[in-house]
Amino acid sequence: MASINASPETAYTESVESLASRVLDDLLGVQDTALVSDQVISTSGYKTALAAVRVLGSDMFAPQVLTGTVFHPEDAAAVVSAFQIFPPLPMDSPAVSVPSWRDWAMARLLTRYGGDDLGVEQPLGDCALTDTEDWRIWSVRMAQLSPLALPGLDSPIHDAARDNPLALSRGLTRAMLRRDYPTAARLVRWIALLSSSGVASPVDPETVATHLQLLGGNGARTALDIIITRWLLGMEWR
Amino acid sequence: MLALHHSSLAATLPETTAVTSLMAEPEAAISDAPVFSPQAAGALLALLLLSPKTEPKDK
Repeated sequence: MASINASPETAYTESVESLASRVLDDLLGVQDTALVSDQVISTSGYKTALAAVRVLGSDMFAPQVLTGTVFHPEDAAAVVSAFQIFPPLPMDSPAVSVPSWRDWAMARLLTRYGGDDLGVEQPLGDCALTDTEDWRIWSVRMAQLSPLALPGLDSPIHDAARDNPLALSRGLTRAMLRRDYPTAARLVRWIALLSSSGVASPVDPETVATHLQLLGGNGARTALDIIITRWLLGMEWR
Repeated sequence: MLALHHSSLAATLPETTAVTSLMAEPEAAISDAPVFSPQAAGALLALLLLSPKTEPKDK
């Protein structure tokens, strides 16, 4: 648990890692309680726990998407509370792009798996996220949008990914050369999603996924990205 | 059961900013890849010259 004097970002980062770890446990069949249980709240604090929900976003639904398990009602309530305490940014905010798309994806999956309709619409007219002229900037944004790289979601962001496997591959290669494995894991997840729908890429995602699994560190969020990637590619993932 | 006291728990600006920043996490600021360091050339040459001479092993 973060110290009482830690900045919100430090405490939230720890909480996100903890939540991602519990999502991993759920995927592997180890977790049998709500991801955001009373025990979690009592340990990390209510607001910190819900901040983690907002940051992890639609990746909370990975067990449901990948294995078909039921989304716990307490977790559905936690998502609703998280959106109430950390509401979506106004659409005219300059920082709207990435968080708004992530909010849309999470809200969509919440509805799909039995939760309330949060009324979050797709952002409109977001040219920056579909402009691939500078593949380095664009690929970093796509990495930030990796929670959208789940089967069953579709949007202009997914269209941009399908239309630009080369830019994604360049971004992935650059991340690997820089040994920025969290970014690489998020980008290979996109390439794996494309592969699952028959879109070829210059980079072999299976090789990258194996490399990241061996050398990508022990972060829970990166591990979650790799497991989702392996599932998308039909590789052994448990 | 979650306690719903939202009115007293609304996120402050720093808290909202923290969540937004973590959602749009940038790439690693510093690459872990090895970088060219011309200053190291002299040190490397000295190490090579000072290293003990060994005869190649007979195969």
